[in-house]
Amino acid sequence: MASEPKAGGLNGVKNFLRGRKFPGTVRLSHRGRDGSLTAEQDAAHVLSPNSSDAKDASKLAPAGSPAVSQEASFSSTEGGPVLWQGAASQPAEQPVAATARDPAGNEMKEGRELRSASNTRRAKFNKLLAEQVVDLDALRELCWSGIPSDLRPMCWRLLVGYLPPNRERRDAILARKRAEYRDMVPQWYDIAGSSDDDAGALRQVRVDAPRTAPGVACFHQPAMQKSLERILYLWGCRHPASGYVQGINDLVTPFLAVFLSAHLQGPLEDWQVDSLSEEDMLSVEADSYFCLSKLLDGIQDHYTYAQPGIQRTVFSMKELVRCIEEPLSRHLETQGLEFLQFAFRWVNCLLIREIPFQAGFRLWDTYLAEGPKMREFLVFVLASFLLQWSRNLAHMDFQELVMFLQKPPTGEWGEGEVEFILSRAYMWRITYGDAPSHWKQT
Amino acid sequence: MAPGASHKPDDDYDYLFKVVLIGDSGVGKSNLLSRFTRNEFCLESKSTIGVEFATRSIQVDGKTIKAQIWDTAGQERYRAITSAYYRGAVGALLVYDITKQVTFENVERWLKELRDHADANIVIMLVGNKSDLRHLRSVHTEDAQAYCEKEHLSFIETSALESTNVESAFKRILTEIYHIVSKKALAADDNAPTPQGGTRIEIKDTPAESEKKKSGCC
Repeated sequence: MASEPKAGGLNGVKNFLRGRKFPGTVRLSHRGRDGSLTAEQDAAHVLSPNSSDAKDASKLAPAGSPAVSQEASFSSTEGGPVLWQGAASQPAEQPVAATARDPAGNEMKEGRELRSASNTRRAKFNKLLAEQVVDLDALRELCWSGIPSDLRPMCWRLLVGYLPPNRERRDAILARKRAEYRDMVPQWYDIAGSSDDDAGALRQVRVDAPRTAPGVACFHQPAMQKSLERILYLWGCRHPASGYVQGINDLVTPFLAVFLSAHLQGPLEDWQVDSLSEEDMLSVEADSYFCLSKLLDGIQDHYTYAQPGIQRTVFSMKELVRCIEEPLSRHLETQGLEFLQFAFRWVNCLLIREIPFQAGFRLWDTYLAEGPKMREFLVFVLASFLLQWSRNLAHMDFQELVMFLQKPPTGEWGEGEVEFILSRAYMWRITYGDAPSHWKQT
Repeated sequence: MAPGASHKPDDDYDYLFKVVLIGDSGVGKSNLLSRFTRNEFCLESKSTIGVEFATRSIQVDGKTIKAQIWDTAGQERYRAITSAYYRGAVGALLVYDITKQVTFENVERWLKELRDHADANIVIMLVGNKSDLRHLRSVHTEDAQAYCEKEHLSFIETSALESTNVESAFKRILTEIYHIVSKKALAADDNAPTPQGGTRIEIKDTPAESEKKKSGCC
């Protein structure tokens, strides 16, 4: 029978450890990803994309309409993908203008420019969202380049098709969907464990819920653990072709955090989920469940037997990398490195395991804006992510390659770095087209 | 300093053995690996997706043995992917959680996985992990021991958290593999000073590996 999840998993562990001594290093969580600086992060800093590269990317990244400004910047680089590659893998000679982190004296002027650019963007969002019937195509285009954090809950729900574009119908639909979810809980979750299969599924979810987003405190508060457990278990029941698969727990976390942000103030690190009313929490849970379902609908074969969708995506990525950077591709092959050995998890968790938690929101903006095309676009994102380190990789042997790629140095990454990866992926899609068969002929 | 980091360059080894870590999810495979290779334990480690990799070298009979260890995801859905890594493995640590009876019951299924996908001569050691949780024990040592005698497996109980027997577990299986391999080499050709044939796995040079070992948790 379904019982309460262990209250305060981490607190339990802390109590258990109190006053005891253990050999070597015992870590509470992956601090490397979540703030405190480690020796490894120093190294990561050296290896991470040169910050001016990232700025370069944000400059080149689409500011309003991805199609227009991307094409413009693409043609301005003339050499196409080769030049792009150069820009990616070599530190820019000239400091590039326009981020708040720039220590130069013209910081204030740039700050003003940034603010006014972001005001213009916000005005565009407001205008679009105020329409009686939201123009979804225009919204996709705008969201592709990033969504202001307070507008994310609304935009994400529209993008995945959970909320209807028509304002008038939204309240009624939300109420209906949330009621539907509320009914699902007693129908499935409350009787969980009545058969062996159910018991196995529930056991798996219970093993993974406490291991979800280890560095993010609010995910380990009892109310959140309960929500996670129910979402994952219910999703598995309703999608028997795959059932719950490890890693899907990671994919729901951006939705939960962003929908919670509509109810909680202050930085995410300080959130007290238990302060939410039961009804609000259930709304967040229901919305997250349905949005997760919409996201996964397009990639169900990532999680069915033998995970053919992941294998295909990794294969396409390998082909694309061969087209973009043949020497590196050959080096990896000579070393005997299989793409599946490092990229499997990248695809399985859509890369959010590889970057800091909140940077994942920016990734989601673009994935959800891509909608049904996300699956194809992912191949370009993966190649862009891998080739971020082409210079380092070129000198590594098999073992170094595996060790590096299973923990790439992204601990300090923020939206800028994610944007760089995404805009370069966008450029490559223009250059190489959507179909893997085209790449082979290139 | 990680226990495995020696003054000897890492690519300077006599034998390279590929070993896989298998067993149900949540039994502590990844922490056994991080304890052995980096002397680290992570309380809130994420689940392993697909496979993860680490190495460490140890000395046996004056020979340097480098273990290349592949840690696999425990969930059944991943078996199609992870079983590809059994190929070429000369050892397997099959891990269960002494506080969860069902993870011990599933040992049989894992053995079948190995029989179906791994080399017939693979050395298998059953590892009962989390021995620090004495008050929660649900699998008796004697039962596991009896099972291992019946199935001709080595057996050990470990605690990755307290670092109990982790070193021994890996050392025992690597030594066992070494003895089999060196005996086989002698039998095959008395003149050959080093083992030849299917059991030795060659990979490329691996400099600067001790640097890698300092890297963070999990």
